[in-house]
Amino acid sequence: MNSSILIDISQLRVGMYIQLDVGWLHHPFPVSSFRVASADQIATLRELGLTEVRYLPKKSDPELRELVPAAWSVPEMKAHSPHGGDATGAPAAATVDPEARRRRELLEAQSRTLAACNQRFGEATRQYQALERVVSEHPDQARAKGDTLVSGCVAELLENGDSVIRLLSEGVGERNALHPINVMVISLLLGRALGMKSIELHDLGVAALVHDLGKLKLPPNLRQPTPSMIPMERTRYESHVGESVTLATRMGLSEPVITAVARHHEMADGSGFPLRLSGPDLGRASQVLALVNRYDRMCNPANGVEALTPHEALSVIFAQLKARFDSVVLGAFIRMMGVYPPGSIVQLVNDRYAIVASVNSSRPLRPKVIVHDSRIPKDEAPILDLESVPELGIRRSLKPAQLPRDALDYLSPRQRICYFFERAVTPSPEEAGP
Amino acid sequence: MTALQSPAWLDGLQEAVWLVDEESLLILHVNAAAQRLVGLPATDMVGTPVLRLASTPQDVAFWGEPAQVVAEGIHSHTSLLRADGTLVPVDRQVTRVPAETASGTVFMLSMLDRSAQDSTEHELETLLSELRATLDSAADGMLVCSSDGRIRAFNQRLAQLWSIPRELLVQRDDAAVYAHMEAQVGDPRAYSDRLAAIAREPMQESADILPLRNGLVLELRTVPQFSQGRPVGRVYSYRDITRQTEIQASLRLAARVFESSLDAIFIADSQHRVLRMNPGCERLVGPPAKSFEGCLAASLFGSGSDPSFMEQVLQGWAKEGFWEGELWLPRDNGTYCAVQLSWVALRDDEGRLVQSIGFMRDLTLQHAAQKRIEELAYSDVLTGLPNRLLLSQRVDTAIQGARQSDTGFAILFLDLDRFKIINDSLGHPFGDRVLQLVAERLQACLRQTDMLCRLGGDEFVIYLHGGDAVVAESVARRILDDMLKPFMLDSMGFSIQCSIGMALYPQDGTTLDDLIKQADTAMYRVKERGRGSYGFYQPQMNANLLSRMQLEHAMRQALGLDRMAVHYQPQVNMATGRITGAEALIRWTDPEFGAVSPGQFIPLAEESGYIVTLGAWVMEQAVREAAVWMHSGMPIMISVNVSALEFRQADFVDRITRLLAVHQLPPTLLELELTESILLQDAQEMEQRLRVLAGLGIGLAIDDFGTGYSSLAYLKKLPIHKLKIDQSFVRGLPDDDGDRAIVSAIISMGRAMHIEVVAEGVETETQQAVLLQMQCDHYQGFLCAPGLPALEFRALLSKPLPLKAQGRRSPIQN
Repeated sequence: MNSSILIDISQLRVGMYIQLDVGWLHHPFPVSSFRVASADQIATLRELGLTEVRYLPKKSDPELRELVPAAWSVPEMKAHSPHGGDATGAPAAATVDPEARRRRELLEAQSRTLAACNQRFGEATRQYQALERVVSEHPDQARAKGDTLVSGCVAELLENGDSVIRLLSEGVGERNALHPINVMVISLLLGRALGMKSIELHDLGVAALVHDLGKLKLPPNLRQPTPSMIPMERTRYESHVGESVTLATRMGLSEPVITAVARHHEMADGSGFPLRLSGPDLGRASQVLALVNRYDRMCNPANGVEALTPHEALSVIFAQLKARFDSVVLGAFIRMMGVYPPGSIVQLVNDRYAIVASVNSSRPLRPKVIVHDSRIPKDEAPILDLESVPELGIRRSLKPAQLPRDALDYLSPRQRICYFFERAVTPSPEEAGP
Repeated sequence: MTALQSPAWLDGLQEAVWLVDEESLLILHVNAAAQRLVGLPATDMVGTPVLRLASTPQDVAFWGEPAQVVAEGIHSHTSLLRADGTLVPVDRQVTRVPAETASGTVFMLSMLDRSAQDSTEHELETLLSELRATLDSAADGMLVCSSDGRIRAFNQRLAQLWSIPRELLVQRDDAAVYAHMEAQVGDPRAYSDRLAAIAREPMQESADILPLRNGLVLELRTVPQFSQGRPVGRVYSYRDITRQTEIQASLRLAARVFESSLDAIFIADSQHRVLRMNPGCERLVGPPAKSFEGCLAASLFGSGSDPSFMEQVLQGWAKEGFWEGELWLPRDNGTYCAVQLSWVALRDDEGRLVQSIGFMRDLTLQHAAQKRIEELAYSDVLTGLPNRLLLSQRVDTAIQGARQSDTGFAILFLDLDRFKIINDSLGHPFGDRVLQLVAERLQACLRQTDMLCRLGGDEFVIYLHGGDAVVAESVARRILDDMLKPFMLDSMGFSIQCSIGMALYPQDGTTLDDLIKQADTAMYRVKERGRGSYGFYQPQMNANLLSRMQLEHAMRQALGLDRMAVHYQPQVNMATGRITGAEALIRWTDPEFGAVSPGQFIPLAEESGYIVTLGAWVMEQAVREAAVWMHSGMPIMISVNVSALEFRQADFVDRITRLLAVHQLPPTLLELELTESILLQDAQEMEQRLRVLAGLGIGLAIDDFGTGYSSLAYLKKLPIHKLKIDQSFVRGLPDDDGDRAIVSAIISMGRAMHIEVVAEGVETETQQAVLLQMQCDHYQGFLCAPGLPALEFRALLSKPLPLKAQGRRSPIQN
């Protein structure tokens, strides 16, 4: 019942009930769980070097609960635990694991997490839309909404990296608010991977959230760059950066945030716009934002047919666009995402379809996958660790839309619109085989 | 295997191949295809670390794996960065192959350009997504099924039309989708039968109309889906035709109304020219109807129709959207037909006149119908008499009129007495015919302004226009009299008696209902008293009637109770001064009423017919008395009044003859006094009877001569012996010149025609002197004597008359 969430230490207030994850020997308090009674205690916690603390809303003073508004939608910590590192490591020989019950529990826990994140995503996109609505008339309200949203995401989404990335690849949430949320979440993940401090992370998140607000001032046909744009249109398109900065300034956002927004189209090799800045001039936040922005546009372009899979997008960025991005940032990004990011639909060398469940950073080519097998109920589908079956590699990544429908239903139950066209001729006989 | 190392052999491969040293991961060799694919000469590649050319994270990760892992090889899709910076999709495989190296093996990396395949796939995907977009943008709901009925695809519109719930959209459940659709149609059984039939004929196309339970009407068209000439499934398309169906239905209805309407309808265009006429209109206009199409609609009503007509119509349209009025429609045969035209303007959304519709009704037909309706509504079917409804209209009008002119009217309620007996004994059809006869006879008793109405059964109500109590009473009396005349039906004679109740407006009631009720009450009272009579609603109105009735009753009884007597008034011969005759006069003395004047009870006796009885009795008394006189040596002529009714009795002559014989009175001593009115009735028969009587020697006198209005011609034709000058003329003698002239003329006429003349009511000697001077034959009056009882009269006869009665002033004058 005592659901807890991680909050940034800056959000800590007197009256909150917290639980310290560091060992008893490593803090000066008599017990590890307690109600924060004074400002001194908070200062002590800061001195310990903690950036986050675990916060139990239900044991805290009632008036404090709304300080972390999203807290109530967070699933209980106990549900998270099977999903973490030990969960992916446990069913080492999933194919031979006889314990179907355990497998099912694992999958259920995973889908609960997915469902919770899914819900949070939808909520976040709606919150962003609310922000968009008020930004012109009431910029200060827009800032408050942005702060709240980012704080919530920092607390929750970062806890569930793989699930979040998996969902990002599936494109849940309100379509027109997808990009800012995607960019914010990935930027936060990447920022954390880069060791950013909580304040920096927050600024990065806010910058990511508002980076394209300026496009509200553009006609819809000029909001996305196309190769066929004439120079004048291109100029109009590029003007969205300036517009975003104007809005961010009016919202009263901090200097680092505005800077990151202003530079989210600047490239390390000086090929960006509007100022054609290059490597040394770009701050960390701008570099992260520029990369993630580009990545998400490749995965979720205006025209769905042009979409690349996360795997393909990573390949293109790494192979072709390496020069445009800071190598440290790009390296961290690749490491974080893996070669086949979680949620990637893949086809194995034996032609079977599978979805990447989690990444093993030491063996990026051999993640854990859930394999489509129509003989096994999908809520008991085995999680297969490709590391344990050297002969069964990944042949290629696919877009969900390329999957046969039953395979799609099986692997990615959220991404489904049944009335989709189905191939008139069944692909191959071996589809039904072992 | 060494031969495999031959560069020439590798160069022959289509795949790009690098040979990579297992230890150093340096490229040892590249084939020609690899040079083409990468876009670098072999010299730039050989000796370079393979990692430098590996472009994707996947490849970097692969080559970064421990040697034994790399040795397991890889086969996957990846990309290659060409020298020109482009990225090529490739199918890349790494395997360990034997080679002439220290380890004896190298890694062979082979790459197949997948650009063409990728772009084909991309094109396919684009095509597919376009197809999806098209399908989803389609106006029709589409459902694509395989031959076995499995759903392959459907579009959003289908989900929308069939209200497919969301849970059926997110999971594949064909059966549930089918079940849902079946539950939506109005007639699920017919629908599933139809689907089964369609399924049995995979090559057939079909079209069906499906009314759904939510009110939508869908048109289902299905065509087989072909793949390489083989049917592989079926495409169902569903179109929402709800609106069209409604429009068509209303159009059909409108057309039917137009065609079948009995009203004449024409449609005119914006220029008021006739576009179409319905059959009703063609019938009304007649054969030339067709020739009017295209002509101005106004010309239907005659070419010479008022030019301002169309102006009026346009004004009507502008004001109310229609024009209405009565017009003459020329007919084919040159006649005109009155029509009611309603002409309605139809305008578009901008208010411009698009068309107009004219509705015409033939008013002649309407009038005829109206009349028939009125007949049915206002008349009694059996007798054709007005019914109560019409009566109430008439009475309402009378009441309105009465308020202004202060005149009243009477309502008579009439009921046939014992009519039930006729119905019961002779049957209803006979009774109905009797009622018709009665109605006719009643009608004959009334004026044009009165109204006879049959309420039903044998009950009639009569409205007497302007009638007061007197009129009502006289009409009632006339009706009772008339009804007493025998009816003849199917050679059967019978008589009918009725009872009449009377009520007067306004004193007895102010509405017809009240008046009828009161008259009915009065009628019932009459029935209670013994039928065959009449009575007023208000009892005091009946006072007069009551006394009459009592009088009549007393009169009838008087005879048996010896309250009647015959008195005799002498007639004096003016020349001799002697009594030569006597008039028999009836006298009635009632214990209650006292002496009742004959002027009072004789009309009563005449009305009731009792006069016959009474007359016969007087006749017998008079004849007997005359016989007494004669036998005692005084042969005096007895003069007896005879009423018309009595005279008409068939046995009258026989009775007189018998009477004379019984009492042995010579006929010459009997004189009958007749009124002029008797001579006017049935003149032929009367004349004959008079001649018979005259032939017997009986004298005939005209009573009250000069007061009637009759022609004097009868004096010449008939055997009249005596004229009696009415006392009203005598009374004025000698001073009134007029009376003198009349009396003188009568006397002169009598002398000239050898008819004796008697002056009545002579009371003074002066009168007697004048009459004598005028050479009048006889006189009668108080001067001599009033009517005297028989004994007194006998006494009078036995002694001479006083001188003044003789007309002699003194014996000396003799």
